[in-house]
Amino acid sequence: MIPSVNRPDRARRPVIQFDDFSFKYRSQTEPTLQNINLTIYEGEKVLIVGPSGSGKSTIGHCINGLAPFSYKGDITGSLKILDQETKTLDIFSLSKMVGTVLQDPDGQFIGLTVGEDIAFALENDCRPQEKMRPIVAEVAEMVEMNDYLHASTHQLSGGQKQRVSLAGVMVDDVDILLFDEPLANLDPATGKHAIALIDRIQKETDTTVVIIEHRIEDVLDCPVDRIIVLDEGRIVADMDPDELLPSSILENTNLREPLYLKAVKYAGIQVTEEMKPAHLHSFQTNLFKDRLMAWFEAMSPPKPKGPTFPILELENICFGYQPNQDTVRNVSFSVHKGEMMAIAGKNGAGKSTLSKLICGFEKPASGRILFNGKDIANDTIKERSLRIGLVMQNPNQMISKHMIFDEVALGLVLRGVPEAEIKERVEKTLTVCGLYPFRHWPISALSFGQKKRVTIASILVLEPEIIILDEPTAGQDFKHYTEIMEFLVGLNEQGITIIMITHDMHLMLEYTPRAIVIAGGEKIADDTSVNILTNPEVIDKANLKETSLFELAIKAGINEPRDFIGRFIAYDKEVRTRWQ
Amino acid sequence: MSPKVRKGKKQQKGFSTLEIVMMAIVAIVHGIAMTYVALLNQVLTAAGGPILTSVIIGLFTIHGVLAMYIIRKPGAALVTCLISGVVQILAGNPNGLISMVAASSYGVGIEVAFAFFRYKRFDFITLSIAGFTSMPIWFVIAGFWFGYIKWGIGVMIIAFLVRCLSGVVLAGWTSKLIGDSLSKTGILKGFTISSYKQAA
Amino acid sequence: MAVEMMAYIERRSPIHELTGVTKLLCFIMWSTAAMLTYDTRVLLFLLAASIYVFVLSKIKLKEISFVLIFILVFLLINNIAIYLFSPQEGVKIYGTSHVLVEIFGRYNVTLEQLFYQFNITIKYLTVIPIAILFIVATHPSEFAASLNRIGVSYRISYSVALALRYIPDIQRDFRNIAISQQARGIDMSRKEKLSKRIKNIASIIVPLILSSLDRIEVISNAMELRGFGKGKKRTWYSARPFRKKDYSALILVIVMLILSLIITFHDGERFYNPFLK
Ligand SMILES: Nc1ncnc2c1ncn2[C@@H]1O[C@H](COP(=O)(O)OP(=O)(O)OP(=O)(O)O)[C@@H](O)[C@H]1O
Ligand SMILES: Nc1ncnc2c1ncn2[C@@H]1O[C@H](COP(=O)(O)OP(=O)(O)OP(=O)(O)O)[C@@H](O)[C@H]1O
Ligand SMILES: [Mg+2]
Ligand SMILES: [Mg+2]
Repeated sequence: MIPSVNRPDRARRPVIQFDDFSFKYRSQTEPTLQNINLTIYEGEKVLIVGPSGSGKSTIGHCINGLAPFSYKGDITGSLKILDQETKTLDIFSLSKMVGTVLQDPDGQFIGLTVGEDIAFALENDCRPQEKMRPIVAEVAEMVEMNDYLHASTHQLSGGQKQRVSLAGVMVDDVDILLFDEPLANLDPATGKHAIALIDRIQKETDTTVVIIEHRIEDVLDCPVDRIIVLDEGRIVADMDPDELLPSSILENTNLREPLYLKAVKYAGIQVTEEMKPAHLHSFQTNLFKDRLMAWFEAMSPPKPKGPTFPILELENICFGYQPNQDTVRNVSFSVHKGEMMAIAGKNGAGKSTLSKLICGFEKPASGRILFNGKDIANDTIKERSLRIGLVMQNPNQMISKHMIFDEVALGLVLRGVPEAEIKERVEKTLTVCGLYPFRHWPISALSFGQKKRVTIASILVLEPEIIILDEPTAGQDFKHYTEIMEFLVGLNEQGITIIMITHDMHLMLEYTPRAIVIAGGEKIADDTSVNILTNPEVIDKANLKETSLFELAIKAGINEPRDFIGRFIAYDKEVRTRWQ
Repeated sequence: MSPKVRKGKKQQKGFSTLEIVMMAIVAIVHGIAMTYVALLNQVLTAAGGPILTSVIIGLFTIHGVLAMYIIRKPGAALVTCLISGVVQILAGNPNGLISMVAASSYGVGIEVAFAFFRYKRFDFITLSIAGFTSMPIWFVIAGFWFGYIKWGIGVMIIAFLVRCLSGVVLAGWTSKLIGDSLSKTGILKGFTISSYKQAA
Repeated sequence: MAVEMMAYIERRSPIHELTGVTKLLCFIMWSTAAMLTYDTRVLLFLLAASIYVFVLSKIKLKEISFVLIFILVFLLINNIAIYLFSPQEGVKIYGTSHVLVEIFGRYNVTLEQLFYQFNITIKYLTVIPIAILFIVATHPSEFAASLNRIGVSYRISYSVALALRYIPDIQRDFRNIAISQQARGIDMSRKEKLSKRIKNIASIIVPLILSSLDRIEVISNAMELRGFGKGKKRTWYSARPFRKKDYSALILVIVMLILSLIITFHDGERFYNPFLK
């Protein structure tokens, strides 16, 4: 029996108390947080969700003191941490109470080795060396990194870095752990481990945990006490997950519901709090089994697309960044014209490297890459870029102009396209990417998600035959995610081939019929997304995650779970087209 | 010209964390960029001796002037130059062998200029002077080490002037250009540069 | 052509046991000695000594072969360049001309030129093992800790550690940025006109600065959230005390520096001239 969500015990001591709290960044005209009233109790685990720009990180900054001590701004109302008014404290005393794990595991890994990074807070606290070492060892053991104390950053995977970050804040015996998008860069299985780890630590140390995250379904993998929904700087919901999920709040604030829930809703079933929808294990599927089955049987299976000719072929590609290293090992696959496919796999498996090889940024040690049947080994980066466009993982590495319009126009200008045509094409692309209203803005005023869209626009505008997108949906909220994806689908229907590198299993299921899976530099699967995401062996090897639809189907006693997923996707697609 | 008006707020003593990180990153970026320039420099030295190399020498001190322009605290230039020296050694620049000494003489040169104005003026003129003063110390040391002295006084004077001019243009003016355009975009919020009123 | 970083190599050796500052000071003095002298005898002695020290460190040649090859190739190019641009330098310095082979015009091969270039080459060679050792046998954070120990403020000491920590990341950024700009159609190859190329290089610098500034914010926030800059002092997880060995090493190198200077300059001439009879 799986334990049910433990209800917050209201008699417990409040540790975070927002009281009619507002915060305005000095450079903004309007307050970013408005009249926040929120109390979080000792030992609670709270999830904060909301669309991009709604102020989630800002709440985090207020709790850990970055606002107003590092990000200047004006506060009205009160915020008490452990009964002390934050305004009267400083960032250092707050750091003793609140441990923050930031989104970017690379950026916050400060020490040269794991041991030093964990010890960082102790060093600043002037603890003598002989006292430091046992504490570091103990905490490292807690996050299972004790064998890596001498390892340096480059030897760690994304998930391991995340563990080290967690250890680094735990050495201080903090009362509150704050996570701002801990899953953003992690592959699904590592994300799942991270969530489980957070859960374990919380139970062992009885700390209060606040998680800010877009990936609601993933966080709900372990029970949370409450979900707070934020929209435009205000709290629009503060409830038990079982109470929130049946409501239409998530949908109305453009947030993504768990996939299994969406399927159940598609089947016309009225979800209620009693069904315990927060977690698939506790979900009372027997209450609606028959209706789900009936829906499944009424749906028609998807029609497969006819094959076309291969436009891009990789043959036995091998590559290493350093001599004697093999980052990519003997990878072969072909991409058909007009296809929309995904490349998935573990952190550090070599996915981004593969995209760089295709675009000529790196030269394969052996093997051939064919475009339309011709070997392109001798084509320069620039020549390849006319046919293959790459949107890189990190938008900051692509942006070179101050203004959005100029950035998107850059490629066209360099190609000598007439000015009038540039204007037309750029404006069209900006509209599609939801950036038209910002076209005269400086890029530095944009959030991560918006910058990512600028870089997508700057490649789309060039209209290459193949577009490769490295993590196109990272940091996007559901609304923009849907907009970008629908636009890509539109392009795809015009015959443009699209390859997406992604950790998002939903994206694979919903948009890319076919996927390739990379693990340890090797291709371990090349199949339909549905088959891959229901194949336990591949899932395990490549750190993917089984889709909750599969579990739902099994739980509801449907004999062909793969078909169930297939039909769900077909139905979903129909819903989306009707939407437009 | 009158010194720029500072908006209230007393300057914090010592470097803030943000400034420390800034100096480190400026030094890395510069250090890496210089490993590329070093290759060019080798060719120039071989091709034209003292005068040709002197043309781009300003690039070698730009990080110090830029860091000082942004951070505006005593020592910013020297520290940045020194970190950059270490970085160049580690990045495998064969010229990095002498870069520590070069780095300190550049750094001291720049500090001298700003110290002369008691770290109160950071305008076009001060930056030009700093670009200029970044050169002489290293010129004397290098002249001795590499035996420029045997080139004769005429060549020496021309080389010296070219270097100083290069310092003014490539280190002084370019720093001002970069600093101002960064400051305008608002991304230098936490640094002293943005608490000064923008020059009219 | 980004040079891959050399990293610390863990070993138990007398060289590894010295503190970082000792190694830095020794390295600086050593290269000063090598730079100031053209005296072949001193250079040869320094070369032998540096090879001995290298052996002491128990670092294997294989582990640093990549960098070594890079430096050697560089040295070769350097030598060729010296010959191309001043084939008569040796003759000028040593005052005699023993021609071995005539090629054309100024370009002949003289014993003097060969000897001069030999000197230049060993000048570099004497420093290379020491420079490499300084890098691969000094634990960077221990180095920062020992800087702090000799009186440098801990914030500044830490900035050195930070720089070392972020070099590979930024080097990677640098490369990615350069390439992604080329993929947008910016040409940086020699096909483009010089003025255009300079402009194009500028368009790479902007994203480099922007992504670096982004990093600066994240790093300094992460540091402050964990209490960096709180007190007047801090301790170091990887600090190591200054010991007798360190003093002995320093004294030894100082004596060596002084001796080599005396030998070099005692006759008012920096070159050792075997051609003078
Ligand atoms: N340092 C800052 N200075 C000024 N305005 C800021 C700053 N940081 C955030 N903002 C503004 O505050 C608003 C909320 O930003 P915040 O980062 O809290 O959003 P978020 O909910 O975390 O979004 P995301 O999901 O994209 O991370 C945004 O509109 C942003 O423009
Ligand atoms: N420029 C580089 N130089 C050296 N090694 C690199 C470089 N870029 C990546 N690597 C290494 O190559 C391996 C593959 O990296 P890659 O970025 O391709 O992984 P990925 O599959 O895209 O991972 P993620 O899902 O985290 O983005 C990693 O171990 C990484 O550390
Ligand atoms: Mg955020
Ligand atoms: Mg990647």
